[in-house]
Amino acid sequence: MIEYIKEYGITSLDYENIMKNARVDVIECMALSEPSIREVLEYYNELDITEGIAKIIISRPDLIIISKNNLKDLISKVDINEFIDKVENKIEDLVVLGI
Amino acid sequence: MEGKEILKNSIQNVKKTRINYSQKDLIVDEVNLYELLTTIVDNADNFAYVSTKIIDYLFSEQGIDDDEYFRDLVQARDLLLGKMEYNLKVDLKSKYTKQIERFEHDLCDFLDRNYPGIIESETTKYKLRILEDAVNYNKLIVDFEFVESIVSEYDDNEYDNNMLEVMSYINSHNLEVMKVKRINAPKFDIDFVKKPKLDDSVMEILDKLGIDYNELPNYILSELKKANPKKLYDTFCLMKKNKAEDGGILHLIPKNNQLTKLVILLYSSDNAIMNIVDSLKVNGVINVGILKILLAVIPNVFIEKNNEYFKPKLDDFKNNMKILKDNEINYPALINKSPMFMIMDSTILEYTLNYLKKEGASLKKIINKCYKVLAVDPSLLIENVNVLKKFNVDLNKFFNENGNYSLIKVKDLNEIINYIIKNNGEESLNDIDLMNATLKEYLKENK
Repeated sequence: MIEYIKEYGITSLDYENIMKNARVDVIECMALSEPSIREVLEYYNELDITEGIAKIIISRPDLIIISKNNLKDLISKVDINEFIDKVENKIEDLVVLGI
Repeated sequence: MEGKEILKNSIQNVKKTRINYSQKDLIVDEVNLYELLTTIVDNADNFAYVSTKIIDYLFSEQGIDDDEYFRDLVQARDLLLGKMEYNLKVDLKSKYTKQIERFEHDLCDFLDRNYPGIIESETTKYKLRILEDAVNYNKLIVDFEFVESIVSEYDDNEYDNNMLEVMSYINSHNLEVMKVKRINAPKFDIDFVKKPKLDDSVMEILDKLGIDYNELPNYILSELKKANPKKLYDTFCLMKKNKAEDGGILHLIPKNNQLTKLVILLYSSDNAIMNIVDSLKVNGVINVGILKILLAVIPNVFIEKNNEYFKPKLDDFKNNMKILKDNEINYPALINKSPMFMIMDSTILEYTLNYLKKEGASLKKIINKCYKVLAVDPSLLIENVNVLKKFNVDLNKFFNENGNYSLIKVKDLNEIINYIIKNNGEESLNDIDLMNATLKEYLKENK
């Protein structure tokens, strides 16, 4: 259904994790909106975020179900390294950064 | 007694006292007359379900002797049957619609006369069914007015204590429900012995969309085969119109997203599309940018019909949009930043907002400041407000004198409050600015 996300650094284990733990409506959105989601995942890869993508899908799906341009706008408001650090280490604190 | 037990006893008590007639009394020709009345009132097309035997019964019971009325009802019913079963295009003449209204009135009069209080009893039964369903099958309990009324009826003298227990049960029950992850993701792999042949008009649609029949996944083929070709074609004609104002949304769907086009064709409808388009109008002009976002990122808001693969989200979209408009929120900005807000389960969203409102929050402020948490994990806000209450933080002050709601958006508030007390003493919980500043320190220390 959303196997294409494996092309952006999602491992098989992460994939299973996503299918078990992500909201069903999020998975459905990702299936329906493949072209837009691919753009977003590509952007995360450009930022060197690959392993963190599974965490974003499960904990902050609103940062996946969004247009690439609006995501870029949002992230541009904070220090990019801090954003990457939070995604990798403490994704729940992104909200306090205003993201 | 625990809250759940009190609630269950209250439900049983109401069943004994308020509902005092037998279901059998209402059945004629295997149809429940009360349910029949509500379905006709809901949609006059449901008059198609009224058999000649039911019409005869009502005429006899009400002492009606009017051949023309009888003939009109039978003719109207047959026309509606044709519409329902053979997709005939039927616009009932006004004489028929007037006779159906007269029938509704006569049926209502019959029920009222023979079963006094039935309307109220049926409403109670419906509410009881919803409440029991929520208690037994982990759904949200939201009709507090009804809960209050049945708990009061159960034991008026103990009402205050009982309500405290019941509300404490409901709060923890609802929080659990909000956290349950649904894991019933659909299966998309279907095998065919032979691929189905599609109707010519469906093939024409695929051709016009530039979609190759041979490249379609099997589940979509199967759904296209099952669908009504005429309805598909009608929706396609609406979608391919030039102007978004007229429902023309096809050209706004990303070119490389054929699945969204097909899913909207299959599971949306002219009404659903126009509903969404109209909701994005400001002074008669549609916000096409937002419409494009919906189609590109959350196309499931166009899904209205139940199906095996994608959950309908139209109602959630409509209800959530209403919440935004009622609270004068800048919805285009919110949808741009967090489209997911629009597909959040609207019952959960409403429950959360009502809960926070009861605790003193302004809905406009809470939506503007916490829309991301509301879109992803609304139960976190309720849990955190409960933590603040546990530590006796003045919630009125928190919600109204605070420009920053970060405290209720964090995951580990309990730990943070303990950190605040440890560093600044318990009295610092009255100083919202100091709490916010200490939160920043805590986050720095716990990177």
